[in-house]
Amino acid sequence: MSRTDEGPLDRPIVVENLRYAYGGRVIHDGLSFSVERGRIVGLLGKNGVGKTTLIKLLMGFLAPLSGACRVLGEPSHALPAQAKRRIGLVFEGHLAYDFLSIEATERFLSPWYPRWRREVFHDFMDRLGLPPQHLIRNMSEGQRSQVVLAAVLAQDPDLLILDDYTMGLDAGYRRLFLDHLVHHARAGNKTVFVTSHVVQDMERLVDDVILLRRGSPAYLGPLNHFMRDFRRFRLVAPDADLRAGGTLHTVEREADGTWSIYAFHSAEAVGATLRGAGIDPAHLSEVPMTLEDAFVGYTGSY
Amino acid sequence: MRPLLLKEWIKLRGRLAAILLGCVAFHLYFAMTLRQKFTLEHAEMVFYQVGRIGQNIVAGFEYVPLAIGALLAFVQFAPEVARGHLRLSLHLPIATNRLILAHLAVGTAVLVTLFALNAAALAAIVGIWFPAEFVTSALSAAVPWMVAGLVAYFGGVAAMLEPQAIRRVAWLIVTAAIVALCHLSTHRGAYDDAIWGLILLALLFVPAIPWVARRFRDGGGAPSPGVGRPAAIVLIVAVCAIAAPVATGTLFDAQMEETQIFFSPVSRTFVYREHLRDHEFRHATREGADLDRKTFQTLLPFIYNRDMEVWGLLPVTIDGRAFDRRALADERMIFELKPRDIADRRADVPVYPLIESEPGQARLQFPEDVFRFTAERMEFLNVDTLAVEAATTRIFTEALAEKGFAFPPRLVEGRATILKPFDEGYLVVDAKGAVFHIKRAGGRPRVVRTPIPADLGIRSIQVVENAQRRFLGLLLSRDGRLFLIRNGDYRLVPLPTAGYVPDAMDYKLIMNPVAPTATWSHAAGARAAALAPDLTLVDTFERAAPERPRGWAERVVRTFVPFEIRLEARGGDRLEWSFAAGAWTAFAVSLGLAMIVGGLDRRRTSRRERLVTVALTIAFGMFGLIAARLTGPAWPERTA
Repeated sequence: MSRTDEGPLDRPIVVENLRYAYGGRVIHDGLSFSVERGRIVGLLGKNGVGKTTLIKLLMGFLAPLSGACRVLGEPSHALPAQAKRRIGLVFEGHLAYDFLSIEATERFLSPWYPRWRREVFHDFMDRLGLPPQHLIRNMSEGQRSQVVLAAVLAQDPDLLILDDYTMGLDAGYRRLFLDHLVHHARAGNKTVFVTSHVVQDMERLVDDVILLRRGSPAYLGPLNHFMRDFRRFRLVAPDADLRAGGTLHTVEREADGTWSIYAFHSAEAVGATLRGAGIDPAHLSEVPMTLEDAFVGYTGSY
Repeated sequence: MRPLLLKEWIKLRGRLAAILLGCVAFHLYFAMTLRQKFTLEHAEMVFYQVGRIGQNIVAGFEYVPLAIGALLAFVQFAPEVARGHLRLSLHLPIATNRLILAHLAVGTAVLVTLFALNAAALAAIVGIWFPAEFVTSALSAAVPWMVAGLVAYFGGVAAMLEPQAIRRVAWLIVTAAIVALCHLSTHRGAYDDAIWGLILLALLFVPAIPWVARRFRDGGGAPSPGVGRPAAIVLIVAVCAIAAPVATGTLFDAQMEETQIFFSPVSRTFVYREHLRDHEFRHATREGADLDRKTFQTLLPFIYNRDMEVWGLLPVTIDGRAFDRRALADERMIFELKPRDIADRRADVPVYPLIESEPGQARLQFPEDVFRFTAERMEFLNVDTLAVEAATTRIFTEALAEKGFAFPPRLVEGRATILKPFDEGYLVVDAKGAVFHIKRAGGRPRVVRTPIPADLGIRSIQVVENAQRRFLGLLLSRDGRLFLIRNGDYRLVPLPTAGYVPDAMDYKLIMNPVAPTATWSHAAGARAAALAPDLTLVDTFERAAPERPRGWAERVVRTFVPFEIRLEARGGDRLEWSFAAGAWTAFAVSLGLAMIVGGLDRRRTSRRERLVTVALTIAFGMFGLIAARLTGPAWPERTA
């Protein structure tokens, strides 16, 4: 994960000073990041912060108003055919031509991709246990997700972009989808850019996270660094009037009257900030948290 | 492309089978109705209705290509746009334009195949009961309907791919307008001179659709470069210009009647009747004296003799001769040649009945055969069996050959109706220009090689079977001269034609024994020539039609119409394109609008887009502004 571009092979995705707006509604302004080859990157953020817009920009379905959005070294909005061959897209809701059968899906897709891995596709389909003539429209959401993943992995792309792969999947199929994805990505040194509403899945999947927060710059970094640096504290101070600021990234009043404080700082630094605000930090303690807790802490609860 | 073909085939095969089934159902229905028609009526009468009156033989078929086009667009692209499935194909390693054009090529090929199958079915069914000439005629009548089907397909695709609701409606309006133009007339040959314009409009969709698809891909964002947007702009401007006269015509245009000029045998002066507005007419003399309607009519006893009889004004004495109503009616004879009557402006089915001219009974009767000319004979076909009547064919062909007839003929002119007092058969111009008069008398051919000069250059002949039998009809030459053909010796009597434009004017010769009058008129005015009884010119009079009064509402609306494109039948059944510039005020209004719009858009759109809008508004007025708005960015741009 880096903020600089070192070339299309090492940085399959490079976003620089990106600006996008729907009319007067600015979605992204000055967004910059890049993704290193072989990394699995999760894009997280609350609804409406621009995850879908960013995914559409990366997939080439929107053009930046200004700045650059390059995928495999090419402008994402004008990808040449040879670049498209190396990018696998999984659309929200596991989009697939539902009038095609399993067999026809392979016959339709395979000629476009010289590196088509027939064995990957058939391995998935064998596990599915459906006849090749089975129509996609007659499949469950989970079965369709397997066909879509099989098709995209059989393309043997260098970069995979997945838009909310969890939609419509139960826990079992979500786990299956993830296992397959991680296995193939790691084995083939693939770069994966993924967004999902199920944050806890990301903990098992991603190397890096991009956290979008309305009105703030995006957080970009390895997941383990984020989980190491971003901390949650519990403060018992029922009469205190806490506000975020200084070392305090977010503060939330819990139902039991205690405060949850999220910060990229140590307990000492947070304590100092509290003292400065006239609050006794004697009852401040750090508490462990999951990625989902951290996500809520970083982006704020609704 | 093969994978795309595979996908399209799998997607469409079931739906195409359903469409084909629908077509089969229609053709079965069509065959049954045609069979029923021949069961209920004599075949010769059906031939007359279809071949001569111009009854639409394939009624109902006009909507079949339209339905096929619209349905095909739906079944091919609905699965693509549902939940944005097309994005799957848009990410394939192929350029967007090529991808969309490939889809369109598949659709167009399917459409053309379906049209060809329908045309074949149509030809097969019509061919059961009619000779090949009718089949050709039916197929040529179907061409504009197939263009409508193509437009429905292209327009339907554009509307489905369009990401923004208001523009989707705009595409549907554009499509409906062009489809409506393809269904203005069911007359045979009506589109012969106009089909090119409709095909051109249909082809403009081809570059526009990939452009719409790119907007679909971009979610309706900023317009993409390329020829797609200019094509869409031309389509929208053209449809606005076509719709404007229809709209203003519906709102304001009262139909104005042409001015009628007569020469009064009573007062020995020209009198006329002109339309002023609504139901208001002016009757006056050439000298400017206004006349009331009754006085006007009494000055023209050969025309209004029935009214004069009711008013008790008959008999009337003219030039010392007394005429009662019967005499007035018997002495009057009218020859008329309208643009639609001219041979090369008609689209006759070249199959004719040769009526028995000596029927031995009061009423004429259609024969049970029809004739047509081939390269070497005059061929008679039985209307029930379509078999060649060998004997009749032989005796007529021999009779013609005997007189030196050169096959095939250039022109076959006659009045194939039994609603006339007698039958004069046909005047036929042979391959060398000689004119032959062919009749059937007692079942035998009666052929006369007329002395009409072979080098005259005949454009059209209007046979007139009038009880007086003085003249056989009118003859129009290619250089615009007009003659009466005298009965018996076929001598040509020249008629006055100064300023006569055969393709645009109605020519009328009102014969009476005192003062025959020739008039030729069109919407802009009328001209008349008073003739002596021997048809020599006595006097002429010309009058321009009064200008149609316009109310303030019409004047205001018209200031927003910079120009108009019309597709209408002027002088006959043939549709013609015409262009008319609007008032200069429309361009002043356009300029003002361009400045206002440019100012308003200053903070919302890019400088380039503002320039495009202003340029289009200056060039095409309100139409350009509409086109710019409907093809510009879907939402206000922010200047970067």
